[in-house]
Amino acid sequence: MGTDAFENLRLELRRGSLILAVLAELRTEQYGYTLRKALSGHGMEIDEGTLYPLLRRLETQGLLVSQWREEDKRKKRFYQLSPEGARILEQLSAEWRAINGSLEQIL
Amino acid sequence: MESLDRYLNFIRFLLPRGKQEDIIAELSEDLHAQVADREAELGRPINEAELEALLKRCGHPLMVAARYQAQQQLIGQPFYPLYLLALKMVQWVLLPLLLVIGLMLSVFRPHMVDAMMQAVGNAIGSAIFTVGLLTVAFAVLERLQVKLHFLDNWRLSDLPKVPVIQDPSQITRSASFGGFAGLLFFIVWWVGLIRLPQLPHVHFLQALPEGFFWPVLLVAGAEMLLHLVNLFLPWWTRRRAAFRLVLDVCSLVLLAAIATAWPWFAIHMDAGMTADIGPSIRDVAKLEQVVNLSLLVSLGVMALSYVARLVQDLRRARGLPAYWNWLMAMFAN
Repeated sequence: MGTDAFENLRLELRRGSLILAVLAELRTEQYGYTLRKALSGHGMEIDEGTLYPLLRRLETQGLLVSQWREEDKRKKRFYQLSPEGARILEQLSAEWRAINGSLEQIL
Repeated sequence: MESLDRYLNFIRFLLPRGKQEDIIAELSEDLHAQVADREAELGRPINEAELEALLKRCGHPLMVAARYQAQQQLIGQPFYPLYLLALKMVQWVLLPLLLVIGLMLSVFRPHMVDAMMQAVGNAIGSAIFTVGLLTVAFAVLERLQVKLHFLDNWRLSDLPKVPVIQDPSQITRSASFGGFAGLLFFIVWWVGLIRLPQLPHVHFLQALPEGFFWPVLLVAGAEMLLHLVNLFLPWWTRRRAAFRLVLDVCSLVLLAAIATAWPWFAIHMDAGMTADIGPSIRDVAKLEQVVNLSLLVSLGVMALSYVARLVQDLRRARGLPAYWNWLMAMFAN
């Protein structure tokens, strides 16, 4: 029971942070798989079932732009931060630092 | 890669039309890249079991496809709390109302038991139908994303006055005193120390067998004693709740036994009472029927209240609050 509760809360805690991490990683253009590997390399594991719907949602909101391109003889969809996404990322980063600062004091 | 195609085809089938190819192409690219990485790691092509493990980690097609749906829930915020409230009204107001009305009307039908069963079935059917209608209505509201202005523009004075939920473990002294006094009066009457004015020709409860005297006296006496204790120690303990739970069961058994002796009320006409000066035999029979049916309905209501009490006492005896929402609190005793 305790482990389940911890796992649920951990996922909840990570959910919001993942959006920030994805936006930050997409300051440079990447396609889904390399993005996942890059995030994983920074300790932010994200499965494909979560990442791709999230990318679509962020694109619908105008925070990302994407295009299909061929690379290594395979078609891949590349994502990058839009100007609006860059502005939002800046605001979210400031918010994150403020929350982090407050939590550091509380914890 | 037949298994991979099968997996992707099933996801495609579940995706919204118009987005299928785009999503599958992207997902397929990711999965193929994962397979290629794994093969590079192993230094050989992956086998079926390894591919299956990889796809299982990715998730069931139903779950994968569901994440791409624009609407993730049938009824979400801010409609869900209102939907729950509407369901509670069906559960605690509409269903009991339909049951009571249906049961009362069925008492006057020729085949009473059949009519009662039909009334219960109709009430449950109507409640389920209403729940279905409410679900559809709220799902439509969610789909249309209707704006609920009253949730943004509200005033304190607009809020309904709901009953204050008192501490569920507390017993009001007035209830204990009322219960004690009522039962004392009943016992005094039951043992024959006082006699209520008797109507000539009227016989009430005479069909009850002799064996009822002591059980009724014992249950009434025990409950009176409990009221007396509650008067001085006005809070529920698990032990006292368990004691009343036993009394609830005994009372229900007694009520069931009394019900078997129905009809309880009869008017015996003397030979001297002729149709010229007194009521006709038909009128008397009609009166007997009305009184007996009314008494039967009262017994039914009493039995229902004992069942409600039994549920509450069961919860109290287990150390839980007697009720879990304000509607239940209205029926708490």
